[in-house]
Amino acid sequence: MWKFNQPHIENDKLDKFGDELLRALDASDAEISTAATSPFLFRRIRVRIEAETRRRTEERSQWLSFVMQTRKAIPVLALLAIFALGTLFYLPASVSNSPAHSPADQQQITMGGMLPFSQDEIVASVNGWEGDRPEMRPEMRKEQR
Amino acid sequence: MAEITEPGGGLEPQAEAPRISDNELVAAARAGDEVPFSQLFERHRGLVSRLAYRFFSRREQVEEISQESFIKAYFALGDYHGEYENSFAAWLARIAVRSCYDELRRNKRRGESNIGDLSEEEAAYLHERMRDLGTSGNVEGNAISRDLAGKLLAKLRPDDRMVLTLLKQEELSIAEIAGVMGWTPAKVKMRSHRAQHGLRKLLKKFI
Repeated sequence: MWKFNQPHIENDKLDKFGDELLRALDASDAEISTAATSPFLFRRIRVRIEAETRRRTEERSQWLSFVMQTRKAIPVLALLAIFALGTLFYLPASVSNSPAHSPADQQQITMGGMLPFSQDEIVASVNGWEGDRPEMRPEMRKEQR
Repeated sequence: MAEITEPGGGLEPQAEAPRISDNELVAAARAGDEVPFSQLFERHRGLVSRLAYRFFSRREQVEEISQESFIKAYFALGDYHGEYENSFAAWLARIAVRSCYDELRRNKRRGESNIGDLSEEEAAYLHERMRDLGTSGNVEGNAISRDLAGKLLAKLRPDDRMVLTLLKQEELSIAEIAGVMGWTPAKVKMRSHRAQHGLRKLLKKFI
């Protein structure tokens, strides 16, 4: 019974001690007042605010000067973009109108022009070879005889 | 969030007649006038210092947190519209708490204030002081105890430390902590449970 209750009691003690520890961190009014009324505190804040404002302004001006410098390149980039878009729109239309757009020709194209056969012709020839093999066997037997 | 909104530490706002509201000062400061911002600083510096002392025992750290909080507040004045509990103090307290949290995390990354810093003698002293904490009025002794307690609690994870402090010292509710930290209430509950467990584990080692 005692053993069962022991961890609970221990936790209570530890919690109490923890609370006291946290309370020990409380500063007195005098200490808070001393820290808050530090004579140069606001001056330091003002200096840092000015520095930060300057940094932000410089950052913004750097960005603006970059935009101004690249301003000349903007028309060239715009022309390039228009050209690229035009090419994109033009290309699919020219491909669909070309004579080599039938499915059979497309297969020949997909073979990369390396072989003068379509994929169907290759498959048919392979099947034919396999289909011919049993017919050849009797002839081969006759020759063997 | 009653306690956090009150300018604490005996630094009551100076009596001015007629007193301009914080929101009016914010509006003027936003227009680029420096004087209203300095008035806001005068009114609320006690609150920020008191909050910073909850987490840091050294005066330099407290002053650093004060500076950081007011600088952040200055650049975020555009975001303040008086909607956060309609109080500039609550809004500023939120910024100060988050600045403390950032500093705790930075300290943890740098490995500052390890429990290894606490010698056996210091630990024994702190243990002894804890027994008669309320009865002793020794200012120097209290300062030493605070420093040692700070070293010990620095061993906790920043999240745990933050939740424990806001829950036990600032006496905020789960919902209020969730609002200040930008966490969900479920996350705050889970963290507070973990923080309590972490503190017990730490104290077991210490005792």
